[in-house]
Amino acid sequence: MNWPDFVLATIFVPLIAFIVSTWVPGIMRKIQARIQQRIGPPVLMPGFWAVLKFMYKERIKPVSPLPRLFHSIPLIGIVLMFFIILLTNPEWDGVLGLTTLVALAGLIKVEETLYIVMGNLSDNIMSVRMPYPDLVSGSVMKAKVRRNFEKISVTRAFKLITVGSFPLYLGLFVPAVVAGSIGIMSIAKYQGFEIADFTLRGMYEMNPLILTVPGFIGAIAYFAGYLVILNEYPFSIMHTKADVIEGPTMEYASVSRAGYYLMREITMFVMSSVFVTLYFGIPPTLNLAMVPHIILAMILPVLAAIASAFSPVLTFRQVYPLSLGFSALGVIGVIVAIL
Amino acid sequence: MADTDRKDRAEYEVPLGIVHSALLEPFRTRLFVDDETVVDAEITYDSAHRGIERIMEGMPVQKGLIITERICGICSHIHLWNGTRMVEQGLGIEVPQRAHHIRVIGNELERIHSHLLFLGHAFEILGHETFSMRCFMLREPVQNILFFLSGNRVHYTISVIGGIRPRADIDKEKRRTLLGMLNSLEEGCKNFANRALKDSLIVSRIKEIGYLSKDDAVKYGALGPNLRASGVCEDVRTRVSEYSNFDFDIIVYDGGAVLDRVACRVFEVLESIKIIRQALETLPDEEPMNVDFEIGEMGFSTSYNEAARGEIYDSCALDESGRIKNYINRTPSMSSISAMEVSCIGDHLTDASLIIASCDPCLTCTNRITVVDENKGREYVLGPDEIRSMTRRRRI
Repeated sequence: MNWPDFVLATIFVPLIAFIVSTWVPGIMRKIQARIQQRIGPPVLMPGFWAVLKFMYKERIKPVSPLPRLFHSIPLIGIVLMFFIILLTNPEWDGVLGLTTLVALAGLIKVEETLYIVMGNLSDNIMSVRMPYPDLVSGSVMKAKVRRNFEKISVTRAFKLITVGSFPLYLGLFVPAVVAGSIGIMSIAKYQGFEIADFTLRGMYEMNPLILTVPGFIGAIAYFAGYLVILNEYPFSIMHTKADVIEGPTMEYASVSRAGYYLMREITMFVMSSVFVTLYFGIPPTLNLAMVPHIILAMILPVLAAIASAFSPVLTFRQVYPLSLGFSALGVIGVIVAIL
Repeated sequence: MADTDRKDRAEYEVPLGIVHSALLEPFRTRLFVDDETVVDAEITYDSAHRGIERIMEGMPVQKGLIITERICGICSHIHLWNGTRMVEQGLGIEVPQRAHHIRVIGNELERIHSHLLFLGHAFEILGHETFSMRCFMLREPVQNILFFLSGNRVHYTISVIGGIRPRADIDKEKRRTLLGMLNSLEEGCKNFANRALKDSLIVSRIKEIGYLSKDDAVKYGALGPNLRASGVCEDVRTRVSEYSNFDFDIIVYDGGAVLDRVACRVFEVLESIKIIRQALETLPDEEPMNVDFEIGEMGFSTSYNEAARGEIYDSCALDESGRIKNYINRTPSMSSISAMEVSCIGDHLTDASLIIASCDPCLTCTNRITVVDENKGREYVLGPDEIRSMTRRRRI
């Protein structure tokens, strides 16, 4: 291991990811606005200026049994995402044996679970904490247990973890089957990536997995899972405005809301970055490869913006069959890869 | 299902409102849920009481009728028209045919913008921002047409006793422009209907949910497009003499689901355009206002008409100086909302707010039925059946 490069990569790769990710929500919003024949916000507004604005808002004490833990969850999410992008970095290859798809899948799973913790630690005022019981005269059901929106969202988050995000994990393992290794760098090298002699011209000589049949099928499954992980339309039932409004994140205000925004936009970029590493074979690294990596990492957010602009929120009546369909596609990708 | 069975099945309650992002107006919904499936619902709407009927008591009728327009910002024209019509019928005032045509044009334009507003709101609840925006973009020219016709985008004040306001009269130039505007509106609406009702994702969300059977629709008093979407061919316009000169179809769907309520309104928009076009093309060449009448004592008079949301009813009497006595205005949302309590049972929690919104509730129209008993110091809300019986007995 080259220690100076390792330290530099550990500092600068997450930093670059952080800076680029502040652009991602703006790009998505701009695309959606154009589809809707609107001008849309300035590109830096939703991802950067909105975050800055929230940092200067009045701090509100959340209604939560463990407010400090509740506040720190976005930070935990951000750190997890930084770890994920570092695991895909060539300088980290082999560190403690962590740079495998198994570690990656585990960290993504933890990220998903954060929403369950969030929801369980939040009790907004819009439901159970009314100052007096709202038992309307003549009601058939008096004194029923009232459940607040966050708790309903927790159930939904759990359902999404168990069923919804399954295509993402299948999408993660299709490249492993093709490359015959669960090592992230092995998968990149299988596609022709060499950190020492990476040039833009050399990039054309690479054989990205996405251009193969199993790779393409796996990429579709990964994209569906990407939408689920982001709770983006059409899979945003966890925080649909029709009933649970903001879901688990309802009590986040001011700095905490800024933290949540950052967590969300970094997740958008990092999950896309993982896709570029696995399917294009170009990992995030502190050399020329970072440029095509960042450009290609915008593909999934752009596609997500288009998909969400043309989709309604789906309930579990549609989510289950859709997820099943994309999972089946992922399995087909694995089978084709084996063959 | 028996009440006790439902109570046993309900795992917990989800209260939506009075303030909620899915609700445009204040009302409270209690959803009783078993694993995110609604097993019972209870809707309470008494949060925006303004006492409009009480304000009108004792007012000169011309002044009082203007207040009827303020009942609602969406269907303001029909409130004023129906109130004016009631007084004209009660006093035997003749109204020129030209004024009838222009009143019909106003009502149909209002129906179009009301239905497009509904569609925009429904797609917003569905989470389909693009289609929601598209509905509002389609609605904008309708607002422009109303502005062009009356001088206002909201509260047009077209009808006055004896005819219409002179500023709402339509000359030849105005007629040609309006016909041109209608053509582009019709094309936009057709394209939108074609696109939205064939979108498989949208249809999967709204098909077979919020089922309201024909019997339940009649039993709970659903009105307007909500009733017609459940297979009942009922439209007050067929009994309103002002509409007798126009050829139009009554859109009836027998599915009774949200899809049918949406589709019914989409195609009613096209029918309304058809009526407006006929009214413009056959506009009689005469004065739009009859000033030869006197306001005086009037017995109890009533008038029914078809608002965008369904049947609307106005009644009052006038004293010898032409002041209003016992004004009653009944709007369609009241009973349609009650019908939605039944139709969201058995559906997913997320669908419930869409189902309730699919009856196109208008709470500013409806919230005038809270009864405050000062002697007993209590406050209660009347159900649809009580309202009907008390209306017949003239107790409110």
